[in-house]
Amino acid sequence: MKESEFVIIGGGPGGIAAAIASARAGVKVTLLDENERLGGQIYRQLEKGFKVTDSNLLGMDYVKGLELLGQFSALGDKIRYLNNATVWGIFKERTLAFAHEGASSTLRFKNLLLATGAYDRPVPFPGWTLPGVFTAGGAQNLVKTQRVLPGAKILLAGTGPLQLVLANQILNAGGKIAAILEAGTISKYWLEGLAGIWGNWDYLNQGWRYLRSIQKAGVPLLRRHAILEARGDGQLEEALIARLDKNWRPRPNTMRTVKVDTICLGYGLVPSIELTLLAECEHQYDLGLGGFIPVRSDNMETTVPGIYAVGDGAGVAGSKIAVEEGRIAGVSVARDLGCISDGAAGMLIKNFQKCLDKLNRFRKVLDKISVPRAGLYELAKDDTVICRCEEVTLKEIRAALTDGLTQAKDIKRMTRMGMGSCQGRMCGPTLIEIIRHHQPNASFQELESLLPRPTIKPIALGVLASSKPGG
Amino acid sequence: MFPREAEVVVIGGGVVGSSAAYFLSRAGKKVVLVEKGYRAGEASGANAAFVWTITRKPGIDVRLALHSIAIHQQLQEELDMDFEYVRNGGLLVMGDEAQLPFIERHLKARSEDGYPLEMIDAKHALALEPLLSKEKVIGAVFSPLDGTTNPILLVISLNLQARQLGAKIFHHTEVRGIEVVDGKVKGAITDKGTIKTNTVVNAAGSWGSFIGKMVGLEVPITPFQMAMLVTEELPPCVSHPIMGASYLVEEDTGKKGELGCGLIVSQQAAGNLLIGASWRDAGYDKRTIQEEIELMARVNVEAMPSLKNVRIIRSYANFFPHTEDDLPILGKVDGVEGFVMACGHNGHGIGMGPGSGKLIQELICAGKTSLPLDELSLARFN
Repeated sequence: MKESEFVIIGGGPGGIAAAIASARAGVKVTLLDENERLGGQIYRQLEKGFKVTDSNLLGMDYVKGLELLGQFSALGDKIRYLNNATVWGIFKERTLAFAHEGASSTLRFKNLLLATGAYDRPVPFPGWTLPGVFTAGGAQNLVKTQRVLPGAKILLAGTGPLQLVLANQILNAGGKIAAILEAGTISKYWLEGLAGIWGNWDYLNQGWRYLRSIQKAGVPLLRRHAILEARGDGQLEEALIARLDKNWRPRPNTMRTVKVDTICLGYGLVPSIELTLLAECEHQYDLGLGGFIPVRSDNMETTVPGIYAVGDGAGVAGSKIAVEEGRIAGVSVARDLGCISDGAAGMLIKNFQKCLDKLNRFRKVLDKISVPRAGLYELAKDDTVICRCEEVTLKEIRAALTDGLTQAKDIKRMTRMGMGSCQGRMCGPTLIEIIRHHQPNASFQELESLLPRPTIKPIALGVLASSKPGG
Repeated sequence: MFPREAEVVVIGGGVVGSSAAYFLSRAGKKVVLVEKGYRAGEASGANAAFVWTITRKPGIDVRLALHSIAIHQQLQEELDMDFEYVRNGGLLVMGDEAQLPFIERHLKARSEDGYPLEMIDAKHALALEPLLSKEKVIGAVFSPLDGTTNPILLVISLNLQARQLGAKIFHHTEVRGIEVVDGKVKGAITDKGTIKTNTVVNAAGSWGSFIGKMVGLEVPITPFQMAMLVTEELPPCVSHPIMGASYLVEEDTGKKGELGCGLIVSQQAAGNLLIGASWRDAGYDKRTIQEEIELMARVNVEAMPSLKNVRIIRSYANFFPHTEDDLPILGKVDGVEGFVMACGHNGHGIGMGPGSGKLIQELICAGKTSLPLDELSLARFN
């Protein structure tokens, strides 16, 4: 069995930063990433065959990412990097299994960093399964890697700064945006947030630039607005929108329809915690950070010694925070392995920590604006599908809840919710919010999402069969 | 409100306990069922979904299995909620000449007992299940009585109907002790309160020994892990429960404790294939391990090569309540009046559970059963 003193899962900002920090200190790093190319969602590189002529078109994050990617490749053979490597399980005795080049392999690790990222928060409402309704991440993927616009007339609905990023990317690619609906509001927290923003001019500056170009393009940015319903005959034709109150519930007499063929839903992100759950790390609930997240020490170590978690997968906070967290984890592992002294590590970590604190101040301001409010999960009607794989409706889930079954696992058994190919990713976060709504004091045990069991990603039977035992 | 008394307290919310609770309620008994975990949360919710007789041995084993098949059919008519029971016939597939002597011995014994089985050739087997490997299959045993069900829906359906008949069902409720006075059961002590009762049914499956201990009985049941894989949903492509003949080869299945694997395939109504199965001694650890997942994949790809591109979306494991002779423990016990055993089904609980539940009801209500239970008593281990 191959062994590595430090395995990193995920090649986004957090994983890359950790790899750089630890490899520079002399740690032998193995980085596994399931994508063809490094970068994760935010620093996603173009598919082969595409050439960047003006990198500004891809957003400022892309430019930042190139810098980090450059540092990564400069370290060359100090990092063992495997692309198209899908980790499907973590097992006891510190081993993990991954699919790579048509076979299943095993890797034993001394230290492990999970930098698995996040995915779009699924928000069910009537019509959300109609063709033409995208998640913001999915639409962004199309625009960024394939230069394909998701539709001709696009409505953005959601909350948070990522909406502005996507809007800019769509505009830069020549797309037409009908409106951007922001469920939160910036103004109320503006003054309160100044303290937090102090020292984050760089971040703020990006926001201004995004806002300015949206304004220039004449795209209406409607604060305190959301989509209530998507309508159409087999294909999205119009969206029902409304003004919201402070709990994100529609205000009376503010409803109207907008003719669009595409909706991009950007209600923030949900951490990918399948691997931290499988590794039996303790978790806590923090809706501001996306839901359930692993409990961590200041050094980004989870409750399982030697297993670290950074980035959006450990709490949705954006790429800059992921980078600082990755650096801290990388240096921390280097110190534990004896590659650098306690003193040197302490100094480095102190600096990274300072940056992190600054960024977190800003993040908390945005959180206040963007955290999903109660009204968001009241949009679904009785016949709205919550679990798309198994086509389980809200009515069926409510029936199970009134039947006295209040634990996620019970509801899964009763309704088949979460038993489909998405392995509970699409319906799990919604189910948690539905249960919390039904039973506000629900314990972690009652809420624990649809616990993953390997294989945590769909893996072909033939790949598992071509395992390299002990190899 | 947690009940203070009941005529019968059933411990265990799996298929055996749920069947007993249903039939007892239907017979007019005041029943409380307590389950420490989830509904169908252990072996009843994580198995091969077979309702199966082919590999059942002559004697009480096959009689109980056949009796239970009749009860499955009865339930299909009686229960309001469909539980996807399909009786298409089952296949025991031979992939190795060395298995033949074991198969022939089994067929002969079954025939002498009055329950013969039909042998079919490879061509016939492949016509029934075209996904099987032409290179591997040399023949099969076919039983028209066998089939598959949806075990979780079966348990839910039994629970809902029992509740309509007045049964009280409590999940996440753990039995902590059983009150026995002068050799007679007087109550069941749970973490939610004590229920006065004269009759307790131990349908706790792999935890049956713990419940036995509460009344001072040594119940020789140990957990034995079996694991399976679930594929993504597929169009109908497997129409019978399929088992590999290695399950009849003692050298293959006899090595208790070590990791082993024999072919098991069935398709659920939703389209997922349930494939496996591997077994090992893992105590009460339900986590699946990499070795068993990969071993199951190899066995199944060899038997059904065209499945190689089908994706696995999860694995699961359970504990079969294992007894030394592979038979369940059913019936009253010496020395503790009102304590009724209904566990130890060794991985045949889905098939035999409903039949067992019905027999337990007969025993409690009438004092005698339509199928004699002497051979299944706890006393046989003394």
